Amino acid sequence: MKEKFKFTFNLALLVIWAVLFAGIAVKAPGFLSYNYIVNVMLRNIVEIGMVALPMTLIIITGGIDLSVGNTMVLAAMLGGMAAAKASDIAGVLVTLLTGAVCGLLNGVLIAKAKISAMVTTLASMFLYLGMARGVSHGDSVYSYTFSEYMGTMSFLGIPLQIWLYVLLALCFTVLLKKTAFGRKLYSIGLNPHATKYAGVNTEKILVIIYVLCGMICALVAFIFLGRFTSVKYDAGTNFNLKVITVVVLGGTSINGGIGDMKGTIIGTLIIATLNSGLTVLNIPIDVQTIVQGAVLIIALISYAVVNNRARKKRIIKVEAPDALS
Amino acid sequence: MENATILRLQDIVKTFPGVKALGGINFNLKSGEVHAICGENGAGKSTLMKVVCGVYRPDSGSIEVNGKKESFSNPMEAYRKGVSIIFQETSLFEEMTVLENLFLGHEITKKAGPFTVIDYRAMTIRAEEIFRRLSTQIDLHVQIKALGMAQKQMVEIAKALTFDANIIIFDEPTASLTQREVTALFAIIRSLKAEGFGIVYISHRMEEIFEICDRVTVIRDGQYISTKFTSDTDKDELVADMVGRKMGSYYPKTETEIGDTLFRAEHYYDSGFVTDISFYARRGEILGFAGLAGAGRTELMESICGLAPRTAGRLFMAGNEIEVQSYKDAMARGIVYVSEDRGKYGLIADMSIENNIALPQLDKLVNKFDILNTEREKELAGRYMTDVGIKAPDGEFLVTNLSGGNQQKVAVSRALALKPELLILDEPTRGVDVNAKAEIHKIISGLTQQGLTIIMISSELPELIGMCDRIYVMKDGALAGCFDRGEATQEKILSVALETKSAAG
Repeated sequence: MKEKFKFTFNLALLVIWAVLFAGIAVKAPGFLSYNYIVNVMLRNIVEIGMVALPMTLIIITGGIDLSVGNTMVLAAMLGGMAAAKASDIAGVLVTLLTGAVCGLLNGVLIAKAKISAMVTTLASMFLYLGMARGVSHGDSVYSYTFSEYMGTMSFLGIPLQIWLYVLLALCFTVLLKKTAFGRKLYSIGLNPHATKYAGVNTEKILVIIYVLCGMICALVAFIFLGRFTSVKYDAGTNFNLKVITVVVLGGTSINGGIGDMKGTIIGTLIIATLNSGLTVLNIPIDVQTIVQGAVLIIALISYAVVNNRARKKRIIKVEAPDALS
Repeated sequence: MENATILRLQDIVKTFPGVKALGGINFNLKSGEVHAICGENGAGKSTLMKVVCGVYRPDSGSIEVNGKKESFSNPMEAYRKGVSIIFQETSLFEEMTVLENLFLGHEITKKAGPFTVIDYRAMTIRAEEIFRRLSTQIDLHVQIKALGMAQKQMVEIAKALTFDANIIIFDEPTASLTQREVTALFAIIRSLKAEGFGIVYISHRMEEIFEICDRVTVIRDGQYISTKFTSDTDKDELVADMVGRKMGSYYPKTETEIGDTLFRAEHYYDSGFVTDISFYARRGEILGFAGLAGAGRTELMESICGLAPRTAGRLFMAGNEIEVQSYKDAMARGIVYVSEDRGKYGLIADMSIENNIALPQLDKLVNKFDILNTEREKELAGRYMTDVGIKAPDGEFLVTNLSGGNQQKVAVSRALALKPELLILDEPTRGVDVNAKAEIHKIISGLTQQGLTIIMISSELPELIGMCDRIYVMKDGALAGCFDRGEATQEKILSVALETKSAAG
């Protein structure tokens, strides 16, 4: 029954996406070109889409990470500086290490010190932002060979980062849906106490997902730096909320315990279509933002409607054990 | 006014998913009367009162208050119409002061220019007057959390009096009071009665009913059984009404062969409350733990299972010392704990039955890539669902839609699926109906025959006496006594459990 309910909501999302896509394509035929879809629409969303994957895991446990954008920028920055001073290898290592440490700090504060995820990552968002500004003295940090590859290379006519995204999306879908680890994430989100009382090491799991999220931010840092050739300390400010928007749009409950990876992926596609489609239609940026907000509200309402229907069905089904007893 | 009927319930029916909680209850209360409602735990006493004061809506039946038909949609409305209830667990706000709690939701206000503000002076005067009437002194400006249980109850009573209620319902008021506090409470009830209040007194303590009440209504399994004057009846007759069958045959305890010592704790301390506990459990034995709420039984068991820290002491399993750092360690040694609080610690209500049963051992149901084998999960859950007799259409059914008894069976199934040697059941029959209770008792009995050792914490003494081979009594975090099956009686256990507490109180 749960499966079916998710299917219907994801279907609703798909319909929303199809309508948007078709509408834009009719208005602006240029939108439908392979080049535009791959190199503009998809390429522009990859960073947000990739971070939305671990963010889905975090939100399913009832947590949140408001610092992902700043983690990404800090990792890109420190990596870029290390690459400039030493070598590309140093740059890569420093970037990955930065991502992991940023995630670890969040994870330890949330899991061990039991500070709420919202507060912890709000604080670390400012912490990482300030650090990025401090180390760069407000200047730009520039791309280096490895990050250029990550941000600009193509394979079989499709940008490398899209291949990476597809691979990661597959892995995260399996991780959440099929593994014991994924099951434990849902269980933590639905009832952390009872999960602990079932012998699950909830603290370890929480630390793992925040570190994982930090690592993905580091990976995205390469792509981001490569794509824009330089990065400034304030580049990640909107990024945090955009990632969360995608996840919530995909039907993952901000209260935890409900959601799936498919929804997040479709949510990513919807935002990608909106971003690039509205630009193609020459709609000014302020209207674009309003449209994004409106679409999010429509999605959340449809989620509530589907959810309510599922609940009603449940109540009818309650009669069953009665009859049996 | 004298002897007018102020509360009349007729044919009250209330069903919950899977349980018929009340099946046609009749009840009436006169002014100046203390009327007891008694029945076993789970008989429906508290449910009935929640229907009266608007927490639940009855499916059918009528409620008449002071001669008028009423249907309350919440307790506040009931208060205003003259019905106040003092709940078993107090419903006060811990962080607010006594005064704020007394007038919560019906504060006395005054005009201050264009604004309506709370009139603290008027409230204080009124509160002082009420406490004078109750001959009690409580600082009106301390937070509730600073008060003891008895004082909280006094605040609850005072709160009832801030409304002009003439009907006061006490829901097991003496459950956590010392003997002296009970005496004081009875004095208050008598003075309220003399003032013409009608009082509903819910309890299953016979002595209290005969001491304080004029009439007594018995309900059993949600059914109305009888109403009698306490002067015309006696304890045996009431018990017979409550139980509806001979006491002896009630507990399906089967004699099992008790083997050698399986588990031993020596000089065990948790992080502060549980002190110097030494006890043992033998194979095939049902070991009871009795004590008042807060005596430290749950704390002890959680600590033994690695769910709470330990500061000193040693544990032995089959003669070998064991080290338990986490619940995982305990499970690996064959010790499994079923929590008293199903909703919060026991089960994931919004997950299916099979997911719940598999949760503690997911790591055994995966391949090397951590991919879950859902077939094996289904099989595991299915086996124990049948063994324990969970009544549900299938394993994918959500736990939240099951009745209390069936939820408890899921919790037990989950524990059994871990193949424990020592099963610790914390209040295994709390909040389940009578039939499910009997079934759970039967399951417990059956398990010992398979050689399992069971530790059972329960606040229901008849249950412990009926089921256990030995009963330890805890008090204030320490062991206060131990009784063998033959010698255990409610009176003996209670006197040990209450002993110094009432002397000190």
